[in-house]
Amino acid sequence: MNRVGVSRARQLRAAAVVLTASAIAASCGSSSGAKLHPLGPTVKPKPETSVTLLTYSAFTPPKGVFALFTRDTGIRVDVLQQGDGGSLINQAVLTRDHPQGDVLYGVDNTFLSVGLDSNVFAPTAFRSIDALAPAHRDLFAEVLKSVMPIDYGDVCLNYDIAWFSKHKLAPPASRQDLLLPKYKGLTVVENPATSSTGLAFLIATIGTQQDQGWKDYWRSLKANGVQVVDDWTTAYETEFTGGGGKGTRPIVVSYASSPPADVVFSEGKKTKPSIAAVTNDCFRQYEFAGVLKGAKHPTAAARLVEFMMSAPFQAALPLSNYVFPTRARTALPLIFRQFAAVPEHPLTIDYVVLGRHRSNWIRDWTSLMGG
Amino acid sequence: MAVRRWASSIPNLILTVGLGYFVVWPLVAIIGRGLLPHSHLRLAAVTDVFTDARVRSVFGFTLWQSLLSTVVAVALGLPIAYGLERVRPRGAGVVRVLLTIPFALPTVVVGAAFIAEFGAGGPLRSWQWLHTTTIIVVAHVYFNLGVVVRVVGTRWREFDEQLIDAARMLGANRVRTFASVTWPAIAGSVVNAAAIVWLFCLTSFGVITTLGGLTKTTIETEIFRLTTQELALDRAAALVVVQLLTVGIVAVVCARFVGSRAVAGEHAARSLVASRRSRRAWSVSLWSLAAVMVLPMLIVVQRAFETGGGGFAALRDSSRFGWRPIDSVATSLQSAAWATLFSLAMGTMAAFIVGRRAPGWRALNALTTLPIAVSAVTLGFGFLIALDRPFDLRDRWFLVPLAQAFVAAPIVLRLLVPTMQSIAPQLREVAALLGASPVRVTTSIDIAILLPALATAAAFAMAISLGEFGATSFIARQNQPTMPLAIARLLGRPGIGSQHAAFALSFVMIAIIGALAIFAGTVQSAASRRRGMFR
Repeated sequence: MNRVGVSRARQLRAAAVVLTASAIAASCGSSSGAKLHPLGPTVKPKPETSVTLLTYSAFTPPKGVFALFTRDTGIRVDVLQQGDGGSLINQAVLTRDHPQGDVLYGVDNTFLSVGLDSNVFAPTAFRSIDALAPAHRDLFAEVLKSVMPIDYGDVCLNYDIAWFSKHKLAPPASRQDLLLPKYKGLTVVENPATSSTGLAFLIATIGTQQDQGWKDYWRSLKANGVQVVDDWTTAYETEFTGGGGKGTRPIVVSYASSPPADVVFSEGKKTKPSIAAVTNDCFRQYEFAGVLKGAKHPTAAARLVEFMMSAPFQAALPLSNYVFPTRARTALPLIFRQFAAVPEHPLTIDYVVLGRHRSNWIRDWTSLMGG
Repeated sequence: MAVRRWASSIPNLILTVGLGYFVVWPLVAIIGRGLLPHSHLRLAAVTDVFTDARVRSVFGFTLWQSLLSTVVAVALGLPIAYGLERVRPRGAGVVRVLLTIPFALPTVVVGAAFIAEFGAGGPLRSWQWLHTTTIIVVAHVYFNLGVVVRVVGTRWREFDEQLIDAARMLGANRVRTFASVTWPAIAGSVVNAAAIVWLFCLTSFGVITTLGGLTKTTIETEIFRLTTQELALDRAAALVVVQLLTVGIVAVVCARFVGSRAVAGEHAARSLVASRRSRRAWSVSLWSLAAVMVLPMLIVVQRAFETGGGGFAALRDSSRFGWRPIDSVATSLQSAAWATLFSLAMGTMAAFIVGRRAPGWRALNALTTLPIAVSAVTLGFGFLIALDRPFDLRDRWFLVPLAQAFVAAPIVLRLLVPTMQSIAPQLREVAALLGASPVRVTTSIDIAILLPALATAAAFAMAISLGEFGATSFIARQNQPTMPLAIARLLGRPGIGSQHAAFALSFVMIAIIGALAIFAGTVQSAASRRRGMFR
């Protein structure tokens, strides 16, 4: 009887250890972490001294640039990053009554109409409209009263220069070339249903005609052994021979900015890129920012969007996110001037058309390629 | 009697209100937004879903892959649990730890490791498993084997070997002994384990998207696509309803089964006296299994150290990504510690009600299971649109640990219930007869007997909260991501440098979870060893 009592006491002690350990961990966290980690008690911000920027999770805030904004305005920037550009705008539509932040940045021209149709953006008179390069301003003239195009990137085919010279094969010059027997099994693309890069390439293949020719193109591409993966990272870093992994496919759908990025990623090992972009058949993807309707800090939000159009932020975009600034006369970093591909006639399609057809195109593509 | 009813209805009320507000209400809100836009019912979406051929094939595949994964996991898990808990060859503890770690790893990590193994340039590429049902099942089994081994093992360990000796002595053969002695004792835990595994496989997301490729679509991935990409809330809601109905039917069947199979047994722990040869055979097979389990983790380690620790240096470098990945460790630990406390509290309260079959136990059992039975994306979007009233809770610090606790609580419940049901009611009656108060009865009988199971449950809860990805990704303050979110973000970033950092952080995570599993294993085996000694 006594012995049973002893053993029970020990068990109690054993469990007490478990419970105290987690209790200690919890309390340590909350006392020391309150300042460092907002998992501790949140401090209610004073009006207009902070602004929350909602963006997609792959965005890298340029180093030290938001600090400039805070220094000049006294407004702190909280960055809330969730999902990709598509889910970002859809979440904004869902939470329209009580938005989670003040500024939304990162919705692209394929999803822009979702946000505009649902009126998630507050009309704002942006002063920086004048700073936009005329080409971009003309393209989006009618939306500039609620959103600003902050940056753009051209989605193009990329190839591994070394692989093609080693195999004594000419690299492809257009997407039509991918159907040639000599390029069989060499291409990896992203799934347009899950990747904005993949969607951009799908749109590039549909082009301005929007006839049914694109379906034949994809049937042939499938027959020629194209590989489809879920996202850009898998395509580029894992399957592409020129990426980080040990891939086997020397042609990938990526960006015109991938060659300079290749040099930067090598961290000093490369002085020039070992990949190149095909400058034909590129689709231009724009990313927009706007003030959310119902924002808690509308004034600060508008100032943040203006700041994102300012020279310091725009100049920092290429090396932080490998996109191009929309502000006129923004100097590109040397590495971009040297190595970034410049598409001759990048495809731009009206965002309204994109919005109307996006779902159907993806659905048709999925049944074509998946079935 | 009145006191007892009162004693069980308070925790029942707390749990029901809590789960009602944080789980049912968001779920109702998101389904309502889909099916009742502008307050009139749109049943067309539901009927469309049932007649759509694509949806039918998606549904079929979901059932097929989840059932297959469950059957394989249980079929493999049972002999392993037997070996670990009854034969107990040398190193059983290590094998148990290795089996448990994958369960807590985020799918992004395991997905990346599987792709490195089976994908381009991987050593097993020639098997051509990528984008097949096989790899999905293998990955699901990889994740969930630990659940079967732990849930069944906890029960099996406490099973009285003398019953088997008695049956054999009375002339029953091995099969007969298993069918009439062993099986009734462990059946409840087997069904429980199968139910958990099946739920995880049914609503699994990361495995399907990273390894399944284009053609493999489940209800869960379809809900995700419809919600996040197309904002087709009506069709998504219809699918959520389909998913819930499927789960509901199985839950009812399981609850009935578990309820009818509660077996009171004496608590004994004695390892089987096995011949040296069969012990060695067990040892060899368990160790080779451990080797297979450890392979994906080794790939993570190899990737993490590929650059001579460059990935680890990047973790501490804030200039590189605009945030310090290493900070996610503190965020995660802190959140997981809270989540463990929350889920142990919830799970224990629920176990007292479910285990004793107090009034309303069936409803509570179903309600507690709801968070793992519905898709994380549904719950996540539900949080966003429902938890802003009456107070805006969406950016409160406790929401992340609370959401993680909801995901962990069903496991805690299921780890505790079989042990709870094995407590002979006579023990409590005798104690009460001897004058013990209800509180005293609870602490010195129920809690005391539950302790080893509680230790396992705490470790599982902690591990689940550390690895939780789906719900967390919707509500975490993303400038302070948890480890799985940080890993996913690093993996999604261009540049081989961030890939190495992602694997380095995965390595840190494996180390933490391994330490947890070892800790739980030590506490647990110490507790049962002592009990055996003092019998």
